[in-house]
Amino acid sequence: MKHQKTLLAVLLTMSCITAHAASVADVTPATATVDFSQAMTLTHTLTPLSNLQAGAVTADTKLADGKITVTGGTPTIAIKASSSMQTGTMNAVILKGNNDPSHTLDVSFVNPDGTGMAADTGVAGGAVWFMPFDNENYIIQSASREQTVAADQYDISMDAGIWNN
Amino acid sequence: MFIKTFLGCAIFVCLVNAHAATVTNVTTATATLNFNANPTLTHTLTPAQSTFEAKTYPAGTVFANGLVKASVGNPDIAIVWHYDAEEDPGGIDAIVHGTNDPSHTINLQFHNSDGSIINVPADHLFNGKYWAPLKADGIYTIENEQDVTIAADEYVVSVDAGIWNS
Repeated sequence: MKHQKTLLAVLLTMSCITAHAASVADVTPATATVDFSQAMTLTHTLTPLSNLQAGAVTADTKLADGKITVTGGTPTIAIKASSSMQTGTMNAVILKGNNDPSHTLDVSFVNPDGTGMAADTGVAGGAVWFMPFDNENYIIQSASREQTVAADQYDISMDAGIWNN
Repeated sequence: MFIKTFLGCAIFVCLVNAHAATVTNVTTATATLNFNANPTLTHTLTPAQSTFEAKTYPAGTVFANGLVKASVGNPDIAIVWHYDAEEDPGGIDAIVHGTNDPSHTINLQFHNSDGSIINVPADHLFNGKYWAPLKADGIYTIENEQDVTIAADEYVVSVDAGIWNS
């Protein structure tokens, strides 16, 4: 019995010695760079023209300037009428007078030179987003037909965001 | 069989994700398009004195004061001599003739309320006339361009005002 205890003690000691004599061979370093890039920030302004006169408004009359600026990157910008707006076909928006909702004003958003923008479909929510040619500027203009506009105030809201394809 | 079906589903999910573009960092901008009722203009032109003495007047004498006001808004207002003839191409000068004797003349000129000559841009041409833009106060004066000896007579001065749509 005493002999067995001694043998066990010897084995345990050997195990301990083996545990302390470990070594590491073939060390392979791995390096990763965690890049914390600056968050992109969008600034979006929509500035109406002043001195808009009620009455006959000729087709494609410029009504407001939209501008999107980005800090922290150069992403593709996409725009659309806000969901609160009553939209028509494609880039058309129907505005209602604040004082009398029966007053309507048909407008569209286009490139600053009056040309239409490229549109993409199938994004989240099924919304159609449009890409300004210069990735920065757009205008709101009256519809492509003459219309009679009643004296009133007409609100328009536009969304701009970063397009991630 | 089960493995094949699972693989098919996995590939389908990948394809759907590839077409699901997203738009992030969405910001909304709102503008109010304010369509004003068409303004009407009130235009008055008042002689600086009830009666002028027939004599020599130095350049810059104010003979009449004009005021143009819009009923609503602040539209750009421009003025032009009502006369069809003898108008200076610059648009601010005119020769006014005596009612009793047309050989009696006064060379008159538009000035701003601060006394400066109204500058007429080269593109301020409408219906063959150069229209002089007024400052926001809508005030103008009619003065003689040079020292002038005015003969006893009646001189009718007439000016048109309108909203300038550029």
